[in-house]
Amino acid sequence: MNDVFNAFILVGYATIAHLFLVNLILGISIIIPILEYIQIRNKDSNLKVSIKSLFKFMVISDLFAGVWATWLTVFLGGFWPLLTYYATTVLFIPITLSLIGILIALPSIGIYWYTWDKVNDRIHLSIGIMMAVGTIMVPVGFNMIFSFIDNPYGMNQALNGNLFAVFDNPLYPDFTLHRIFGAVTMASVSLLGIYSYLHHKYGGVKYTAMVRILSFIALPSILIESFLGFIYAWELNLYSPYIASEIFGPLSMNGSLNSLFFLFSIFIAVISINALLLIFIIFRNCSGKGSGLPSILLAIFAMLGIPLGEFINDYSRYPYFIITGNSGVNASVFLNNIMEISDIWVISSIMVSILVLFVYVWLVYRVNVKGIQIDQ
Amino acid sequence: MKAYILLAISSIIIFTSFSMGENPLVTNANAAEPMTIIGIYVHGFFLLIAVGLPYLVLTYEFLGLKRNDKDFLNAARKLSSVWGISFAIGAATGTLVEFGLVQIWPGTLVAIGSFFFAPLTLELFAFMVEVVFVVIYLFTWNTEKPSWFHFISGVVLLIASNISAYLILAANSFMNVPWGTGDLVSKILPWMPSLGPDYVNQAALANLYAQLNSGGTLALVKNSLENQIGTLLYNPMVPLYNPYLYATFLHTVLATIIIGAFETSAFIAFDYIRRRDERFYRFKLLKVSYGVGAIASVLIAFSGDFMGRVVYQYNVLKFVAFERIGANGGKDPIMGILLYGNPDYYFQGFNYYLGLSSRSVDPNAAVQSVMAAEAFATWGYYVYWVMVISGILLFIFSLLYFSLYSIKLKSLFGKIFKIPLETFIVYSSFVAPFLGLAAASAGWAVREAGRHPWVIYGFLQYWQVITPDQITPALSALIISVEISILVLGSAAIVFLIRYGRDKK
Repeated sequence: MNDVFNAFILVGYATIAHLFLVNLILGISIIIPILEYIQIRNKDSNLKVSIKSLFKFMVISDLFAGVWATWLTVFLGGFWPLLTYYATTVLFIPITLSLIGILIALPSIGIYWYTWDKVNDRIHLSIGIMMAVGTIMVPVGFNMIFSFIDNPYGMNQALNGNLFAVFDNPLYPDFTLHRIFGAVTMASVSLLGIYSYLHHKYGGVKYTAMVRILSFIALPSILIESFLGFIYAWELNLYSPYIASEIFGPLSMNGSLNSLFFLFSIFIAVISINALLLIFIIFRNCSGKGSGLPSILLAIFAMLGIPLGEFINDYSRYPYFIITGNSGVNASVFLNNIMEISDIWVISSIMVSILVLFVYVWLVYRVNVKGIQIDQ
Repeated sequence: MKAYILLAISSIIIFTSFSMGENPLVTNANAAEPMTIIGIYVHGFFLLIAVGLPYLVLTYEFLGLKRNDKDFLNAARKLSSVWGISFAIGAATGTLVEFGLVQIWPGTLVAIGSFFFAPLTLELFAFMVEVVFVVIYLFTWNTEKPSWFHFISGVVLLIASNISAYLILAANSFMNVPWGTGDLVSKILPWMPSLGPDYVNQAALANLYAQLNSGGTLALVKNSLENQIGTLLYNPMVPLYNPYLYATFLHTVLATIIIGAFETSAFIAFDYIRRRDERFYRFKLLKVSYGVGAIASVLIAFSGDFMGRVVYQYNVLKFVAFERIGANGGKDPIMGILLYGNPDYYFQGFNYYLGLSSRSVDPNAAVQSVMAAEAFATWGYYVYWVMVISGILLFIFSLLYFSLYSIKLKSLFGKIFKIPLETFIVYSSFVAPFLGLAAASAGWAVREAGRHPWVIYGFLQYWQVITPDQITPALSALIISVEISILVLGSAAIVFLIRYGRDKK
């Protein structure tokens, strides 16, 4: 393996792992205040138990996302210092926006948890809304990085002092909305799958409200997300044709058949199956019949979409890092050559990350499924 | 007190920095410094609790398990929620510091990030263990069925957080003493000793130094880093063997224990005074929390001595400044005894080091270092003594605390001061955390400001690594207001948790 590939794989791997969790967190942190508002209005104690369980799941995901974010920062700083330098210099304002979002979101998560049942419901809901606002600010800023590496708009203006010029990047608005709705879709659809299964298995009214509310969120969200996805694909053709040709292959304006197009086809199939399963399960739930296996499949397919889509999007740029139209700036230009990147870093990092994944799944199981005693 | 010191530090740093010239990068770096200083202090405030409090929490839990005592278990459980929220806020503010480094001072990574790679990557593994065990520890509390498994999970968490602290401090210690660079720094600052084994490409580093001097990291980036510099570092693990790090780690961890233990003591003492019917129970808890702080306060005297010796050995200008040896040098009987066993030992002053500057490959940098140290001496001396006096008072408090266990000493205390020793312990609990915070804040101020204007001592100056983006007053004010808000809200959350969730006997 060469240094460029090692470093590219490590950063890509950390990015996908981080974004998978971050999308779950973003989606759940938007959904939780909605659920809590309905819970307060209806004084639904069953719903409250479910929201608490969901929040614990989000906290665990957030802690692990934090681990991956730190991995990502260290890998970027260690392997790609020049890229990091350019990104932080040119994208100073968007990154600051994200940073403020993180600083709002993380403490509000802690405060939200420890003030549950200890402060007035409305105050608690306000803290939840603050948490959601902070969490939304994070992708609003960071998605500029992804837009920028697909279409480095405003670089010269930024280096000459106009740091707001990057916001005129035509890829940015739709891509950001696409990511936010993608997160809400992934979270709501996968949670709907899980709660539909629980509802089907245990019956009664324990999960009824949760299933109903999640259906109302998931269905419009997947429709909006699909629409935004089409627009994003169209914009990629216009502003980042290299990426478009790599991903969409023969469907793009000037692409040909390639291996990524094959993966993209699988991705589209996954999204389509998701949509079909979602509609099927909503119908089954409305008719009071419920569903077992399809619900589990829905949860799994919903969670598959994000990492698969991210992999396609990220890998499509290799061997370039920043795409400029039909070509790009080679990744090797940004590599840290003042230190050797041995294979051992790649192997040990991937081994550790697999361990992290197992521990994450085990913790989610212990805390949410086994329902061990909680400190509250 | 802390705010006053911060204000003083910020203004003096800015003042001394302005005197360096009108380089626009220097202006930008000066504008960025206050928010960086405040951000690091806010992060440090919560980290102090997150690193130090577990020692007390686990002591309570251990006593609870060993003696099957619910009082201690309840106290441990309650206190662990404070630990949890401090960890969360510490993580948030850690992100702030991380982004501060990446975004405000991006040149650090470009120029010298490779030296931080091993500590920070290994820290990822430690952080991962922390995250896993913080979830296990906080979510598996069961005081009805206490288990040693739960306690051990806490011990693992404690070890992980200490390893994490060690690795982060490794990066910071490298900034103070760039260990593993051999004689490189002594060529620039001739009074510096050789900094460990030579694991660097001396020619490449000298080239990097010249590049940075010509216009900071932006110039370096434009000139294409890899073609100009070449491989710099042959052993990325070398920052972990830094003798400056050993002293720093010991000293810092003990300081965190002192602050965590005495802050808890203050809350317990408050309840002791307010709730007369629970005094026996409260004092039982107070004896443990105060005791943990007292043991650490005694030990820190020894780690402080160790710290002082390495500062003298590797950051002698800082030593001359905070001991106020003066321009022409002089005697310092206490330091003379401690370092040489000779009260008449003559310490060289700033003029001696100025004289050495002519031997430097960059005399300007050497002169600048001496002048910065002289400027630092005007206020660093007082800040240093705030630390020393606070430490001495805590040491005295600790000795008095240990007298609790001797009937003779206890009665002697009563005869001299006309109050029971227990009363002294209760009321001194309100003073002790402030002394601990004052000592820690002052200690870090001396440590960090004492190496100004260097980011990496003797090698990389602060203006060389600043972002070329203009740091506007509005941005600075925004970030500082967010930092202060986090400090206020986070502290309020901790107080709220302790007060609202107060355990009742």
